[in-house]
Order: sequence, then structure tokens, then C-alpha cells
Amino acid sequence: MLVDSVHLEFGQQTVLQSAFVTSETGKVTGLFGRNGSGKSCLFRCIMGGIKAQNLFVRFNEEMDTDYNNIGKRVKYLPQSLFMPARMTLIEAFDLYHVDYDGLVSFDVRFLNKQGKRFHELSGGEARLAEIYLVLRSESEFCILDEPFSNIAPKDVEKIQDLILEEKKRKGIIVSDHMYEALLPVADELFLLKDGYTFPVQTKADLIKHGYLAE
Amino acid sequence: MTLIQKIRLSERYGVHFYVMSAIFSIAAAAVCFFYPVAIPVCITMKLLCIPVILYLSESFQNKHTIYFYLNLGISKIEYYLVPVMTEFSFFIALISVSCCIGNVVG
Repeated sequence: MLVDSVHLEFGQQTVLQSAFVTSETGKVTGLFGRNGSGKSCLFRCIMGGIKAQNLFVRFNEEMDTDYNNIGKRVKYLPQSLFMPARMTLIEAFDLYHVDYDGLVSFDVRFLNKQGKRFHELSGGEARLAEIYLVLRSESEFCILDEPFSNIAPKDVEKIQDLILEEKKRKGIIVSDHMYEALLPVADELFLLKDGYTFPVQTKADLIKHGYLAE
Repeated sequence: MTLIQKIRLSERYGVHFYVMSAIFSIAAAAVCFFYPVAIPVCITMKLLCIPVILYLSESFQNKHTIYFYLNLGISKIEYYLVPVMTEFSFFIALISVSCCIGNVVG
């Protein structure tokens, strides 16, 4: 998947200009950027949640992209809880065609919780269920916005394992400020700065671009 | 996803919209029952109220919830249009029936 020439403005403020990001099946793409650099806006533009002034998305060598139904091919995890609060876990899993027993195997805390509504779960549990649901659902690509934030260290490891397992059959884009959790799973890295995307290779590049302190 | 499935799904995220619109529709149906000539006024009022009701119902929802439905392959236009069109069809049917009954009774 190639996302290119993304231009987004809110009035006089330019958030993204010629931003790009790529994702490939079998690879995890890490996207860094300071707060307000436009990472989440870029993802929302891809999903159609925000209308960009310019956006180009291309899958493989396909000539046309059906922007209206992009959710069939790309699943997006926003940075905040996004499940309907009154929906039960089993209803959400049925809608996404994901096996609930897999979640129980992933984390035994979810045993006998299929009838619980999302607002009845703790913030961490709901987030974990969302991450699992998005990663396990049938899609070609996954975009995860801050999946490691507000998650217990032990669960971060579980999510890393899940990402590594799922990347075998899909392309995954992950954005997170917890670079120490993201670096081990990422195959390629990008930095979003001043509305532009810069490919980066190492932690030293992140320091050079001013994302990390020396 | 079929249109029927999209309508059924809209009952989940559009519950606030449906409730608020239904109140207006029932009130309009009552007016049309007694004054059938008021149909054009009711339809105009209804059309003017749709953006207001949409705005109000949005304020009840988590702004990220839309992505749960976009992930299912529903477009942003469908997300808003499906409940609006469904409820508007219901509104037209309701005032038509109410007007007919009003005419027969009257």
C-alpha cells in the first residue's frame, strides 16, 4: 500500500504537505512524530474520517482505489477507545468475524467476559480487546495508532508478539511514542516532521531529526 | 455488506438520531392527522431539522466510534446517510398514513 501526496490544511494551518507512508505485507512500518505532527490526521485521512485536500492511496498495481470502502482492506485502531460503549465483546467480535476464543487464549482475563459491554471493562482491558480485534480481523493492512500507550509492560510484550505473528499475512503500520517498544518489531521507520515524511534507519536518525533528546 | 445490514447496524450508532427524529415525526403525524394541508410545511420543517438533529446526536457519541464502522467497510457518507434516509422514509410513510386516516375519520 502506498499513501502519497497527502496534503491537509485546517484553515491557515498546514498539517500535512506531501506526506507519504508505505506498507508491505510481511513488514511492520513504524511511524514516529512529535505531538501535533499529524500522524493521527494522516491515518484518519487514509480511512476517510477526515477529508484531505489531496490524498493518493494505491494498492499493489491497481489503477483505481475505492476510497469509500477502504475499511474492507485496511483496519484502523485510533489512539483512543473506539468501540461503541454499549456493545458487548461478542457482538463486536461477530461483526468483525474474529473468534472470541482466540482472545481468551491471548489473555485469560477475558474468560467469561464475552457478554460484557465495553464500558464495563477497565480501560486497559478494553484497549487490549480492541488491539486484538483489529489485528486479528480479516484485512490486508492494519494501522495502529499508539497501541503500546497506557498498556501494562507485560501486555506490551504480548502485543509485540501478536504484531509479529500477524505481519506474516498483512502489512502493519504502527505509530507510537514508546519507541523502545516499537523499534524491535518495526522493519522500516518513518518520521513525520513539519508535514513531511522522512525515512529513518536508526535511533541516531531520530536524535538527528530532533525527535529524541541526545 | 448489504443495505439491510447497513440499516440494522445504523440502529446501533444512530440510536440518538432515531429517537430524536421519531419524536419530531410523531408530532408531525399528529399535525397531519388533524390538518392534512400541513404536509408540505411538515416536510419542509423535517428537512430543516435533519442537520440540527444530526449535530445533536453527534454530541452524544464518542468521536472515534465512527472508525469502528468505517473498519467494517461503511463509508463516511453512508454512515450519516443511511439513518437519515431510513428515518425520512419512515417519516413520509407515517405522515401519509396519518393523513389518510385523518381524511377518512374527518
